Amino acid sequence: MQPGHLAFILHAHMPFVRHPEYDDFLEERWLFEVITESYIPLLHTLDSLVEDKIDFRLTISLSPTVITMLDDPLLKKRYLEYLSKLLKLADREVERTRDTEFYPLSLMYQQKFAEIQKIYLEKYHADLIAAFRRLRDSGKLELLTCSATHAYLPLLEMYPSAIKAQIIIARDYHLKMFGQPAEGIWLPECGYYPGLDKILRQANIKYFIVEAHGIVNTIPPPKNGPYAPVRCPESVIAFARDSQSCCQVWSATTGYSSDTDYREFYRDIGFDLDRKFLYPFLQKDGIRTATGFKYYRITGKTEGKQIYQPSVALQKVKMHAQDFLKCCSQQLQYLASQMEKPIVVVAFDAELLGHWWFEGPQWLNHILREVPNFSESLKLTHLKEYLENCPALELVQPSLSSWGYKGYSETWLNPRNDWIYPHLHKATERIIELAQIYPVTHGVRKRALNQAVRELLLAQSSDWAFIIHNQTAVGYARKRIMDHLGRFNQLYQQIRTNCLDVPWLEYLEYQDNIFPDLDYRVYADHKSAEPNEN
Amino acid sequence: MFKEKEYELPAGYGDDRLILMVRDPYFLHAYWEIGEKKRLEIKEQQGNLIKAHRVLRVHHYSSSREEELSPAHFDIEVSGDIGSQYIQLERPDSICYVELGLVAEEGNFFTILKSNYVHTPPVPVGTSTGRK
Repeated sequence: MQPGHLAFILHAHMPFVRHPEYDDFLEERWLFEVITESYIPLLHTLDSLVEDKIDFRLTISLSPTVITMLDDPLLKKRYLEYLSKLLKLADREVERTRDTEFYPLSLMYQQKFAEIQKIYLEKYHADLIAAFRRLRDSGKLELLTCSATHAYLPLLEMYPSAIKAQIIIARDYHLKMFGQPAEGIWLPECGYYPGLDKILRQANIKYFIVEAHGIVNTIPPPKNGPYAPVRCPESVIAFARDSQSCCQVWSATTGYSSDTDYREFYRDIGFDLDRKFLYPFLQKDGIRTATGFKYYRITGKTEGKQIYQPSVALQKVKMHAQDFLKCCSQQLQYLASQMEKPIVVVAFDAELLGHWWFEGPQWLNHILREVPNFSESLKLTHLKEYLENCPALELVQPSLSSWGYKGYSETWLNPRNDWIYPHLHKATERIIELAQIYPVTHGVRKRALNQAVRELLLAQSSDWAFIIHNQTAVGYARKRIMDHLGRFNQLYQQIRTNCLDVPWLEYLEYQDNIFPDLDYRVYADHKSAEPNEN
Repeated sequence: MFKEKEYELPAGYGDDRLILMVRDPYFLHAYWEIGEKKRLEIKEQQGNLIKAHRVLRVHHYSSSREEELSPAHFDIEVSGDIGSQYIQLERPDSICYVELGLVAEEGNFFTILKSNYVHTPPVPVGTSTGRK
């Protein structure tokens, strides 16, 4: 019996946060934290596997916003400043904890952060995009794209031009940054609706991933359930994410990442210690923020957290890696007895590994190294490789679905955030109108039209509705929506009345500088979804 | 360096619009705006109708072939020239659209606005995963 296939997919995304108008901006640290705790550890792990000649397969989707931020000179400079402050804090923290039970841990963090800085500068030369590209070129890593600004597409369904713009701009940007087109796409939040396959096909996207119920709930359901991809009516292929495998990893109650010996995320010296000690790592206004110095293990549902023990956690990592492979192996053995070439797709946010779940990169490392021990029943693959030689696919139109709360659109459409959509939809109608009024233009008006598209794309990010739903940085998310739509509406009025404020336009181009090559005509109905000639 | 103003979003845009979105198999969300011209038309119309009240009429029919010839509808009382409403459906896998309109005392319905069509997703039946 042939082994079944296991595909790991990591989705790397952060919202576009870049504030050149300030010297230091708190929300930019979201990116710096995940670079430090997830992206660099992940890249370093994968490079080590290549150096050790371990034959692995992995798929990573990189959202265009994360690519643009990793490549941005200002954010690179600020990241190095962040690391520098972190290392100075590390020196003080090591001194403060000397002769305490926390000393070995503070040393561990000091060494870890110093290593991250060294890897970033000396190994990667501050160019993580090139690092991803090299791994892609090795054949072991497949890169997917994602929509331009991670818009939740089902709630824009009534505006095909808006969907097309999100897909084409992403596609073209990925080609520009990686030199090869992405054949597959990670739909934001796995948000799919029937008919989206047509737009994907027109953009030359060959496959995507949906949450399992998007495929198994169809009437009639496919004969292989979520364990074989299906062909949509427009011939684009849909893979189903296996919810059970994923829950086994990330569930907050039963997943590996919630094991009580693993490091606790929320207890951080940034919220515990005196502000004077933490300065200058904190911003000038003294708002408390996470530092990455976390000394406790999850322990359990108690306020009395116990001290973290890395060696104990490492034993759990090895145990959980073995357990996961054993479960997958058993699952695939059963499936292979029932069907030809089954595939289990295990997908989660890349930021889970390292940032939310500290031990995550170690777990993945053990998984990828231990797979050969299960080779009779289990073979790692990426999506492209799987499709090179797979059985005939069943024709299925997946249903509306997402991986969000309750499996549909409620996270992004509820009384906390439903006010967003009348304004987003109106702005979409306005940009379509402008694209039709100006099928050809140049100079300042063209710049204004292109900038209007940037503002609309940034307003469309699903992150803002998500943050408002979760009640975390609500003020910031609301302001982002207001600012981008406000700028868009003002640009719209200026374009329509031919009264462009050029200094203000230049300011916006500097401020919201995403996708420098985009062309507003992507919103024109007559424009086909062919690759951008630029 | 520019000092931008604090942006506000308008309450409405002066258009006639009624947009329907799917939240999940059992819930829709509609929002609407009635523009100035249509408001005047409605006022006139309402003047001719005795005790007319405003409703969102939800049309729904199953997407399965056996039932596609028997659409049904129900009404939800609404108010306001700019508003929104969550709509609960009895069953999933339905094709729906809504109309904002006036219902006269005698039961006649007068359409003010009509929405786009949507299709709600089907709901799962149990499936074997092979997972132990």
